[in-house]
Amino acid sequence: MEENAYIGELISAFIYLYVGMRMLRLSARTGEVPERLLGTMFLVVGTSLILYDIPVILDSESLWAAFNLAGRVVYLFAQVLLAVFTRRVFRPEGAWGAWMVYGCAILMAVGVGGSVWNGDLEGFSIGSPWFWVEWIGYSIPYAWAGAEALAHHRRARRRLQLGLCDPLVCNRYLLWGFFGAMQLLVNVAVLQSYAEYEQGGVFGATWDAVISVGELISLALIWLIFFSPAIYRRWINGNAPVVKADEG
Amino acid sequence: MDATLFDFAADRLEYHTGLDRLEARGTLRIALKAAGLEAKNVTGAQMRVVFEQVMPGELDSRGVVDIQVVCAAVLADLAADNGAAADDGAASPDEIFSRLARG
Repeated sequence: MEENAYIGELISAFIYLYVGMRMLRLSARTGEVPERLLGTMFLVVGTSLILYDIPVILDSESLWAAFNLAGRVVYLFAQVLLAVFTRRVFRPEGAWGAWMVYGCAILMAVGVGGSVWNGDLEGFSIGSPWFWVEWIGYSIPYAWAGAEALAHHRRARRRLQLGLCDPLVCNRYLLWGFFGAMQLLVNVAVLQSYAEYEQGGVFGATWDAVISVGELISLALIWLIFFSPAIYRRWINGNAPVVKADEG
Repeated sequence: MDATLFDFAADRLEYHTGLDRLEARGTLRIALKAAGLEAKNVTGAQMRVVFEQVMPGELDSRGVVDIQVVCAAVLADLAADNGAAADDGAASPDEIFSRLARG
């Protein structure tokens, strides 16, 4: 991580922790599982980012490998929670949703286990096959979440025309789809960043900046989905189609 | 397995039109898809809107006559059969995504 790039990551971490706590508070009120899954996921993501940042903040080279491994392992749980959330919300019936969850968990566990077994605690060795197993495992949950949300948005737009879907809910599908896609793009940018690190032993500022912009956009999407301001809600509702009156 | 409401509505559509069973079920599936709905979790309120706003066009394209009478008859059957028209209690993605913004 280059110079002060960790500050942005740390801010992101605390925002994720805040969103996670708000979601868990909602879950305590409603007693429902989806918000508990999402809240826990955001808390875990925030924790993972903090773990990655601790050696940078302390400027301690000796802590680097151990804390990166800890951040890596914690992050895997976040991705499993995201996959479980996607299955619970969009694919509650049928076995294949469950297999997607198991598949991602297995890929990540095998990827991390294999790379650690081969001495790569940090998980930045893009040349290792274990890296790719892990990368695919933690990228699929974002791709899956994004694809499901965008597919639901498409159907929700039809319901919207008939007055069968709240315009804000329809918009949230779109934003959640964009969030999944943006996180997937961040994961792709991470590949380039890791490639630079593997070659030169340092993370390049350019890819740090790209990743930071991707994270900022993701956080903005989360804000609009879960805590949208009144002006945004008015804008979405104002642009919703006027439902035709019943002619029958 | 399809929801009871879908089976019931398709059965009533078959009864009130000259469509056979497969045609009636297929037509209803197409109408639901056009409305952005799925047969397995459509609710009574949603089915009513489909028969009011989408089904007339689908029936017209299949050469069914007295479309308004047919749709009104199916709607009356749906209203009369409260059991079949009961909404599914499971939380839909719409309900979940509506609730998530209340944190």
